[in-house]
Amino acid sequence: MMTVFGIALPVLAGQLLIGLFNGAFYALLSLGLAIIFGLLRIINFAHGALYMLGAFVAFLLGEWLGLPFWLLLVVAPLVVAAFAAVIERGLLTHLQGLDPLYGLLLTFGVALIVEGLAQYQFGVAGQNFSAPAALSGASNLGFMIMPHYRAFVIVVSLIVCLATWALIERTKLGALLRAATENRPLVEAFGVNVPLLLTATYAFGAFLAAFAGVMAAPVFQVSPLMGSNIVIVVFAVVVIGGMGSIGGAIVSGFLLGLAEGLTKVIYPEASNIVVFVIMAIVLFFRPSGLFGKTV
Amino acid sequence: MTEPLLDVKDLHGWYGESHVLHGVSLSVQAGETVALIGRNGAGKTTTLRAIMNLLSRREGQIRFSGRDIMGVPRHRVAYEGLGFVPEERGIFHSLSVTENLRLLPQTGPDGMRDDDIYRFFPNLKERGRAGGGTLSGGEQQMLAIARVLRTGSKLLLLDEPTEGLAPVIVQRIAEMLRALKDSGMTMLLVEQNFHFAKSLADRFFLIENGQIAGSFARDEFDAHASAITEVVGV
Repeated sequence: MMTVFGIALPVLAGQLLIGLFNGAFYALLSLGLAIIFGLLRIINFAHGALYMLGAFVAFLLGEWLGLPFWLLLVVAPLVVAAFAAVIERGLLTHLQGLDPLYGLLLTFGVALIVEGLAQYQFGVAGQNFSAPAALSGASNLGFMIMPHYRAFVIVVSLIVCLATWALIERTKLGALLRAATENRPLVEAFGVNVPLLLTATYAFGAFLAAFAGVMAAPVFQVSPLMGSNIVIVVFAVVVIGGMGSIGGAIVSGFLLGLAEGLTKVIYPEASNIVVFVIMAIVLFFRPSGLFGKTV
Repeated sequence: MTEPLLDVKDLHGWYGESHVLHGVSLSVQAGETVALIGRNGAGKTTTLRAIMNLLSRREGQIRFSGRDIMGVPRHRVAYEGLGFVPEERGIFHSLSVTENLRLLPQTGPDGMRDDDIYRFFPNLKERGRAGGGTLSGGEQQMLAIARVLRTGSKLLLLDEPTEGLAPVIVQRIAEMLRALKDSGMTMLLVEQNFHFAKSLADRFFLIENGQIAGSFARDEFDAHASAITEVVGV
């Protein structure tokens, strides 16, 4: 059997694939966090709860209405985005000009309420949600077995991340967003409805989180705590990539997923902490993150 | 005398807790260029920011084109016809030159067309893809003015357009603003550069400690020279 550094190739490739798969979720989640932080200056602690809500809304709409997975993948995130827009308009907008700590506390409170309600209703046990039949099964690539659903998640996440990057870096709307990130009052004085832009941005970040949640539903169980499990790692990813850096969030999301996968092969005991070790090292040498600008 | 295009009466303004403007009154007729001059910290920039609704708190009266605009939300002020060229130019560094130029929404019907903009400011076309922050100070000032001209504003509020620029660039900006003036544009100019203001403005308001200390027309300038020197401190 082929080996790389004494490790069987299928094992290595399999773990790297799982790493990329996890990285796909890290990237989608940290991208949303980075966009929200960039414009609203809010560290969105509700991000894990929005991810969880995406999975639950998909699960419930699937149960009640029997909607197909493909439709849920769009509808559930839209529902969560609408919820997030209400949170922004109703709560976050009142925090403008205050210390970012208030935003952190408020979104943390929102997360506790949403997760608490979900637990009250569904308990902590996970609900099952299956992937569509078209994506079940796996292919033998010779050097590894490739489960179709995992490949699907990685590709779709990459596409969504790149599309988001292009939206922000290459379009007129993205230019407004970048300008408002630099100097919000001035952009407003030029005649741009910045309050609306803030709401839309928060809702879009929530859409990305919920989208990740729907894609996670068939693999990880749909449980009220699924968000708080992943969000801690995602915050580390954002810190490593650099707060507010769009490209940095995407790249470090995938890279850290890979790093985790690689650690599982080399030294499995460390795989849960490797992200935090990398975070500590990065913070030591580059306090503003790998791709961050010094603020 | 017809009603002024911009009519400010007893305007008070605050930065947080500190009361900076103490009843500023001034007016600008359509087609006129008015300069607001005064010492550093006298309230020149704050007056412009108050008119643009950029202060945390303001009181008084501001009428524009015969409409009371005190209640207009910040993001609608531009649609009343006010174009703002802020101090230090306000060029967005994360945007390219072209993105900066096209960022502002059309707020009026008679915005300058791209061809004319580029004829006026050829550098902006050549450097279109460059980052906004890589432009020289003079180019940034041209960009800051050009992007407002595209919107179709009826009044330009210019905050120290010559600040930190080399004399030869100052001269170019003066020529450019004179051409704008000749084309009928109305301007309210905040200036420290006295010579520059004198060469351009039809009327002057002296501001001191957040209040208007005097006003006069261009041909009265020399008669008021000593008062001006006293207020401006040059």
